[in-house]
Amino acid sequence: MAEKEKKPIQILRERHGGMSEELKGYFKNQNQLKKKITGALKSGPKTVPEISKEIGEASSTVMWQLMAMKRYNEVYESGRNGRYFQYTLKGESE
Amino acid sequence: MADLNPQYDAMVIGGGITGMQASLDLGDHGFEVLLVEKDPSIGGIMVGLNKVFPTLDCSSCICTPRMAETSHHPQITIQTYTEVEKVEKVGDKFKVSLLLKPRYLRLDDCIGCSQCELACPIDVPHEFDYELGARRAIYIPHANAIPQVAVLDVENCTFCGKCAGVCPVDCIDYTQEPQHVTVEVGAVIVATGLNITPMEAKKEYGAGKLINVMNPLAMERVQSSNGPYGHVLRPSDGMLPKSIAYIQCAGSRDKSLGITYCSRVCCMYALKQAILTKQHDPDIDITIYHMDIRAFGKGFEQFYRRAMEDGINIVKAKVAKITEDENHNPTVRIELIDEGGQVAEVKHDLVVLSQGLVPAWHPNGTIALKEDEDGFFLIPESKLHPTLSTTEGIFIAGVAAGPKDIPDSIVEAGSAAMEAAIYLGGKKEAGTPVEAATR
Repeated sequence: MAEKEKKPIQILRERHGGMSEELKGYFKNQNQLKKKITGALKSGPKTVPEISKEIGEASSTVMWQLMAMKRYNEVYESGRNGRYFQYTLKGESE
Repeated sequence: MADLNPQYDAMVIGGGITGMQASLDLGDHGFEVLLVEKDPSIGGIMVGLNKVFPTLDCSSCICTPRMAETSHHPQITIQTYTEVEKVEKVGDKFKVSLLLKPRYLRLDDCIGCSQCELACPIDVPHEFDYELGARRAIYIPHANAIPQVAVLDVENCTFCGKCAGVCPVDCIDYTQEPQHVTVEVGAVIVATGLNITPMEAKKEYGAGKLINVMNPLAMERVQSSNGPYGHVLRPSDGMLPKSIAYIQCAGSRDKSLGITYCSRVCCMYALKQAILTKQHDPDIDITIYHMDIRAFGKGFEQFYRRAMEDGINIVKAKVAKITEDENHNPTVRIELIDEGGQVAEVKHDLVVLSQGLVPAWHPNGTIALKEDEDGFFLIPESKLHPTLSTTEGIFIAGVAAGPKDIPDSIVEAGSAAMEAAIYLGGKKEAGTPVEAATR
């Protein structure tokens, strides 16, 4: 039986040796972090320090990921609390 | 993938403002120009700046028409995402070896719709935003990118195939490989631009580990309306800062770093950023700690005086050390030069290091050019021929030859283009200069 022709993405994956272990770990942690941030925002608008405190992650880590989620329209700025902006999940009473 | 001619009259290395201007000047005189850029878009540093000094013009507003003009010019071929591997003089020509890096999509088919980027599952630090912002593994370089097409960063790819699945024009091509191409050119202009002194260079200033001690180009992005945050916020926690410090000569005039020269633009860009931040929020306290303010150009002294009138604190002090507390609030330890050398420690919400300029390209044998002791390319007759290099037929323009601002870089681009045109024999015999109406 002829060997099944490889899909182009398989060829690319093989050429590059697939995802590195470091990248796999990074991707897994990122998905977990996004899930935690989303979970924290489900209960209402929050600032970066509030999210950080609730999910137990460093505020700088939350800040970077939250800004990524804002860039890709997963969250938006919904108000201010003192010197901090509050963020809300997209789709939650815009 | 590549559709390059085997010969060009001139090659310009570097697609920033200097390289684009040199290409346009040569192209307008009828020469066929190959513009090679290592990044996926032309535009260089300037397209990422917020505003320029001292006019406070929007930087991308004045850079993008130049980018568009360059990309549409019938005499200029742009080759982005390409590295120069070797430039060898063969007779009176140059044999150039190029490495064309794969974007993993067909450039001519991509419509820049960003569907691939939106479908990609992984966020990675974006070089354009100095890693404060994010992009995806497949991404359009930035909103003003030319070409406005995507590029796949295979090092950060999860190999999920989603980008190909959503592409409306089926332009993703995972089978692409790097291409090595050779072209022959008559002259070369090196316009490879700048980097800034690495943030890790000075351990006394945190060696790049203090999150609220920022790189000045990152601050440009933060101040930009299309920047990573949308506002001037602290990277550590998203707080609106109420106290910002600028540390002048952070990566220049410093023997310990081996960068003994003045970088010429840092005083002005610090004043610019301070004025803009203060315009946005008059209640912000901004302090510029300096050894001396160098405001030498046309309109610069007036700009400096305007900063003082706007309430920016200009303090003559040498910053010995920067530390941070448990909330990442930076504290600067300073010697107040106008107060008899009194030592003080001042806490701020955010610190910007006015880093110096260093060359972006050290060819290491790629091209027969000598470097000066400051690391920039050596200009043997700097007084009368400021764009002639140590090799006949190769010309240097912009920051590649030494620190300078945008207008001076553009002037040198014109000078280098004229020198190259003279070297190539003046007006092209085979064709005529391009009529303005045809552009």
